[in-house]
Amino acid sequence: MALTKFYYNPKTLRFERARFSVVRIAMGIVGYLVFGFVFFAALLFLQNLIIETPKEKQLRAENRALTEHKVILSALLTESNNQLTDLKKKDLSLYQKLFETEAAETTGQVFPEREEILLSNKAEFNESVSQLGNRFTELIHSAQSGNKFFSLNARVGRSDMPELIATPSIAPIQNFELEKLVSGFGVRINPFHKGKYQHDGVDIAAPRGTLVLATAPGRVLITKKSDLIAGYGNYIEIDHGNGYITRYSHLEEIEVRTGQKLEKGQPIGTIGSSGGSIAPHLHYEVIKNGVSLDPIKFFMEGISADQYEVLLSVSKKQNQSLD
Amino acid sequence: MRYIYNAETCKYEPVIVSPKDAAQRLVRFIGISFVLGVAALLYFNSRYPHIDETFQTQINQSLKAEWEVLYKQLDRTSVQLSALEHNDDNNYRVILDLQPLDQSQREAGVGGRAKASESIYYPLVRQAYEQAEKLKNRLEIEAQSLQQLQDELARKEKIWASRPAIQPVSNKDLKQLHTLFGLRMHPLLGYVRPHNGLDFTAPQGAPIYATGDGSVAIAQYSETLGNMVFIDHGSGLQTRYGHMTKFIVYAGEKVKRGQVIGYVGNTGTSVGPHLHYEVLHNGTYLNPINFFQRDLNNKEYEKLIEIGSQSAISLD
Repeated sequence: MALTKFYYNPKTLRFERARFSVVRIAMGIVGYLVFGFVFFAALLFLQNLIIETPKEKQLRAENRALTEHKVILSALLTESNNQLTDLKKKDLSLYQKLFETEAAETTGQVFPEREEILLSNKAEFNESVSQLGNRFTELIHSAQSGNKFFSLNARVGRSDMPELIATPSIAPIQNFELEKLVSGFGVRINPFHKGKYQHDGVDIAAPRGTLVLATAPGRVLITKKSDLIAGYGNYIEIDHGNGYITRYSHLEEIEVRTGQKLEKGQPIGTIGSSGGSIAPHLHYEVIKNGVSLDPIKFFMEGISADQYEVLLSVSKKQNQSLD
Repeated sequence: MRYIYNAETCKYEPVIVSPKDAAQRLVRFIGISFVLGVAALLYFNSRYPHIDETFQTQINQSLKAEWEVLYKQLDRTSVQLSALEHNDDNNYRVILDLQPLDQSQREAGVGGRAKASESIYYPLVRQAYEQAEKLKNRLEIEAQSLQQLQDELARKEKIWASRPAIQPVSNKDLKQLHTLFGLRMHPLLGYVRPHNGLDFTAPQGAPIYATGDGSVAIAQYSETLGNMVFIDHGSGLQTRYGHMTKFIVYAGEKVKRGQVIGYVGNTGTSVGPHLHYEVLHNGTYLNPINFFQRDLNNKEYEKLIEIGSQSAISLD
């Protein structure tokens, strides 16, 4: 219908030709677009409602499984954690009974974990930071005093060599680990009568048969076998010269004879529980010029400063000895 | 209002759209819009994934993050349990003289029963179940192990408590300790005979304490030992106390370390008030000096005696 259309113009009182209008066309296009969009949205909605893609189906199933099983597993985990807490309590009570000491070693970390730091609030975060700061200052102080001590004392000359060689310097058993040290030097609780007494050595617990080693070169001074259920039991004394004597007691087997010359680290016997002992262990003593010294000071080889610090703190604990 | 020029009537006539035309126009409009919509949909589908798929993917991702946390928690529990197991094997079992459990014992029972997890298709879920089940098994085994340790410790503590370990007479009362053990000249009989114990010289009436837990085997008068008490400590250990003024326990009575069993006297073959104390192991006399700490100070000793007397009271 290519008929020319006219408008009636009331001002001029004439019929005028309807002109080509951009606005009209634009409005037409907008109309198409709007309705087009409405169709698009409706179709999309319908498509979403009706069609389920394989991937969607799979995801849906997986998500359902993940949601359902998470509840069950969380419950299982909670149960396990409760059980673990119970076990920890039992463990602690066992520890306290065995060692007669209140504070068990903390198995958890002292500093918060990374996640905890990330999730911590401002106060907690500041706390951690100041903790670290204090520790840092402490370390600097101890390092400074350590340096000073060494510069004053650590002068080793040729004349010191015999003394150094004679000084016991290794742990007295094979495969020594920090946790094997159970009781240190000083006043300890007697396992039999539970009274306090002077414990002149360190107790190192290890399975029967573990090799006991000479801690410095020397000569066997005494080997003694004893069936008596009190005292040192089977024991060995080694004379290292320069006033140093070491004693190894409660042995199961003695594998050296009196007078025998020994190298450092040579096996001399095995761990046992002979004499007055409540558990297989080595009672190790270091004697200098007749005076018992703290043997911990002679565990120096093959041990880092950190490990030594742990060892020292363990040995200071006023717990029960194995006698 | 629009008009068209009608050449026949030579008039401008208003355009009248017939219903048919209007319908046609509408259909055309809707048709074109629809085609536009479909085109847009096709374009959208080619560019973007399915909407629900996107939603589900997002849910899936957040769920997986939660599961990661769950796994971490499982790990943490497992690590803590490992610490316990390690302590158990390397500390307690060594000290209590028991064999450490080996790995196969610790993981026993995992393969045994039918597992709920086997039917689950998703590895993430299945593995978590497997870990949780393993953890549960390990926990049960560790619980049993700790129970065993506890029982063993209780058994040993009984043995330790019954070991003679203190002086039978308080230092407060003790005038002299004759440490002579073995052969000696008997002061009354006048010939050499073994002296199988130690003599604690103390005033008449000073209390005598049981040196370890045990049960009274004999409490009677004898010609030589006078009023005497034998205590059985179990594990082949026996202690004997002689020359008492009187004993205050009866045969069969259970006694605690530090409990008063009688008083120092001069009965039997004795030249003055003292306690004759013997320690026997499987019938052999041992030197009692090995069964008490001489460096135990008075305060500590009193404390032990006090503990002994308290237990005695609570048992009555």
